[in-house]
Amino acid sequence: MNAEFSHRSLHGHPRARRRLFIATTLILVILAVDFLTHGVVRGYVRSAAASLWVFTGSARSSITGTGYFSTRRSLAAENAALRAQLSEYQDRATAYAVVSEENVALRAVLQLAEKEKGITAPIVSSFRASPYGTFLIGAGVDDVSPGALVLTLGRFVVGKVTDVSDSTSLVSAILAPDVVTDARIGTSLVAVTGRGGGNARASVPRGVSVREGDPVTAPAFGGRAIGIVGRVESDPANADQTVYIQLPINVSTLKYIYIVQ
Amino acid sequence: MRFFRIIIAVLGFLSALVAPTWVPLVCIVILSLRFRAWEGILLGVMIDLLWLPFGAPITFFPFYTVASIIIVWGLEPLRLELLR
Repeated sequence: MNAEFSHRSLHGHPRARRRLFIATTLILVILAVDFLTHGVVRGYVRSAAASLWVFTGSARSSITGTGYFSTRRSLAAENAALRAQLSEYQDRATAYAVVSEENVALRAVLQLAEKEKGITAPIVSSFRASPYGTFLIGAGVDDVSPGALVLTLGRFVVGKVTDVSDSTSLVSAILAPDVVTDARIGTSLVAVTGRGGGNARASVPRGVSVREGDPVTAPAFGGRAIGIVGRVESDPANADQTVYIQLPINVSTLKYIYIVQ
Repeated sequence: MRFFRIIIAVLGFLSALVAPTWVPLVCIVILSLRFRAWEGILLGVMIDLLWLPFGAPITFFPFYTVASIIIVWGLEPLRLELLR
């Protein structure tokens, strides 16, 4: 009895252990198949997740639409709507400033503005669930191609299409945590480090004039804006000033994005 | 106990879609502490397939798959102690 108990304690039930081993092997095989088929498996997983996201969205609307939570719901909805509206106005106002500045620059070098062709697509996943700073959009291989830029409706770059499957695409956020992007703030070229949620940080020499609301543009994305300066922290003991950058719109309220073809 | 296992697993899979990234990781740890949770590894690989861009594993390292395998297999001695 003792010997049997000792055997079970040290190694567990052999059958259960074998089951776990087989499951681990199978999962590694799935990963290998996905790699060898250039992401076909993940395409299916993402399509299923996007469908579930859309389905739960309508289910949530149906449940809250029954009226059980009407008072709380109406207040929350009004609050959210006002916040979204405010964000949208800020987005548009800043976009206007960015466009004006861009126009001045374009006139100065006598270049014509390039017309952007693209499509609008819905966001079909959560922004905060991805550990890799990615999100899903409801546009597939017929609509977008890898490397396409993803903009807010106010024309701020939020990401880049990295994977494309039949009905969904994966977008890597520009301001995802620890993602470094070369950007221009005023006349200074700086490395902007993403912090997630549409926020980023950069160090700028203290001599450079930076004000809240200044647009932050990225030469790698054709000089498009990736955010605005939200706050500037300057310490006399430090040669650099810390600039906090943000998107003028709350990314979690985004429902549609614009993809530049 | 089977009900508890199902609830945590379902919570883990749903949280992989909508919740902050630490929630599914907590679910994997809870499952692995009490059960030989193959679904913990499945959850890890699902997160990677869902959110990780396709590319060479050196560039796009499947952190959640590897972490879940390490957690599920690495917690085996501790789990056996708890189950004793």
